[in-house]
Amino acid sequence: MTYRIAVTSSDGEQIDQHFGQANQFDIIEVDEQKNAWEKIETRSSVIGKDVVVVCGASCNGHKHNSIEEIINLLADCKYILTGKIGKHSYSALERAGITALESPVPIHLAVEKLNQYHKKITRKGR
Amino acid sequence: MSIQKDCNGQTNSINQVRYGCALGALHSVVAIPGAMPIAHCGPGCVDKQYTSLAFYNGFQGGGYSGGAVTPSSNLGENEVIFGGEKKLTDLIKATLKIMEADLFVVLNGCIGEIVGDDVSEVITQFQKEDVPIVYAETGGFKGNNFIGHEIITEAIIEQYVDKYAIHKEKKEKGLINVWSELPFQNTFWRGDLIELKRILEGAGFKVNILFGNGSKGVEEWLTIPNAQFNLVVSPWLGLKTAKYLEEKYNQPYLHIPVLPIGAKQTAEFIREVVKFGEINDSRANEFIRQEEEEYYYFLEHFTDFYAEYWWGLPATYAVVGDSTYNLALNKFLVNQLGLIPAKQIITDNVPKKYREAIAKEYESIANDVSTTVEFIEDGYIVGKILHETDFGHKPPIIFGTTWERDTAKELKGHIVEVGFPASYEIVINKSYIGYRGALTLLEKIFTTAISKSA
Repeated sequence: MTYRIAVTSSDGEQIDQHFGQANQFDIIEVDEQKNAWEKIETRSSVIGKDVVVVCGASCNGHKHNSIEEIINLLADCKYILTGKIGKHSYSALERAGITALESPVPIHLAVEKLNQYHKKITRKGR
Repeated sequence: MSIQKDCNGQTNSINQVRYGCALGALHSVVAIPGAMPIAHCGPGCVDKQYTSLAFYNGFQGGGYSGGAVTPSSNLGENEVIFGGEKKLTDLIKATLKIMEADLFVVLNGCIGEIVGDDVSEVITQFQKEDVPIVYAETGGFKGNNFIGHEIITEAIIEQYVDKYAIHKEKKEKGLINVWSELPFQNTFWRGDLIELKRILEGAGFKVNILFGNGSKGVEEWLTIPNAQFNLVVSPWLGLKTAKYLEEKYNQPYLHIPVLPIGAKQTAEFIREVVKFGEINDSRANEFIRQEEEEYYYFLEHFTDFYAEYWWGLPATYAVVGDSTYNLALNKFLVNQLGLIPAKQIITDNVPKKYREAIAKEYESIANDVSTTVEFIEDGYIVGKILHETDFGHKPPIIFGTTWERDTAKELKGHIVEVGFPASYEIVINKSYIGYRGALTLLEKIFTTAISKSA
């Protein structure tokens, strides 16, 4: 079984950046059983013409992506790994079936730990 | 798979909680003046332990570092997956910035212990910079708060006292460390420990009471290694600590299972400690004489009431509660009031190795009174046993907790709440032990007995 993780990273190693301010997402595909993973692509989050600021609520006028647009962009991902994410965005993603996590460790460690957790909570019969 | 039941039909899950989890012993840190616990656990843990042990139990309040004050890392899904060490480090840094305490005690709860957070690694970094901070592994599943208490005590001694105490080999004659009640769990601990200290000082000792307002707090803990001996005043809580100190600082210990209530028991208690400590007993004798004069002055007035039969005062009793108060009350009620023991139930899940010795104490409550004790925690079974007990033809008096109120009503008896949870008592500094506490206890018992029909 495979699943995908979207990661916000400034350098491809650290998981940093605020989810709402990330210009792009690295998409990682994980093979559950093999504990192996690879980056399959990078997706830009600049959908609209203007500055990318994702905020779940309305914010007085300047153009930005709505959380719905980001959810569409990352609809094939099960998890998001980011530095920081706001409550509203977190809930919107949860409702769409995407679990957002703030990781204190670099990508290679984070994906490994996340996969261990993922396998535990998606065991047969649960 | 069949469910294991013990001889009373109790399984490993109980109805009506009688204690907190190991993390609940954070209140032992709160009880040390100047100390502050830091909880590395889930978001509801401290609230639950506070609300049960320190609120709906005498409405004691959290004091300086308890209640809403206690810093908590509020571990969530992130920390379960990636570990909570970074969050703990950030929490400690923030705490050191805005909270003032002489000693911080980091308590690792269930989540940290299960996901394998290396709290010792985090704390060691701070200890290297001489921050007064220690850690204790109090995952809730390790046991109840009685167990957590001694885990914490040992951690503080091992990591703080041992590091900062000066002249650890020097022993001061007459200085004793007292290990007795469990702070907050024993609802009347604040008043009790003050009375206990007063009694031992009156006997001629210098007392490290260690918890509560009578203690000088963290600086007092630093003198633990200098004590002449350790005094354990409880059926079992504190024995592990005393044995640990015996090995570590070469200190003998005296174990007195009966926490004294009333003049008779208190005099016996004082004499035993003075004998063991080999100090001059003239001061103790004078103290006992003075105290007894005051005690019996009041009791003499009280006998006008007690000698009457108008109110149908209770003759038989049951005690349901933790081992320390249970044994202490039994001794007092039989020896000073002449009441008849009907049923004794100990509810603090005493470690198996101590149970036999404790049961033996009940066999010799007085030279002509012997009774048995059962170790039960489940509320349904406790109620059932009380209903099946023969209390004679007069309504019984039950010394128990809020959980026993309904049973007492059904038995048309009286109830005095003496332990956790005591949700119908406001407790500020009231004591039920020693000389002064015994008189307060008598007030409570007989006020309850005569107000029944009011």
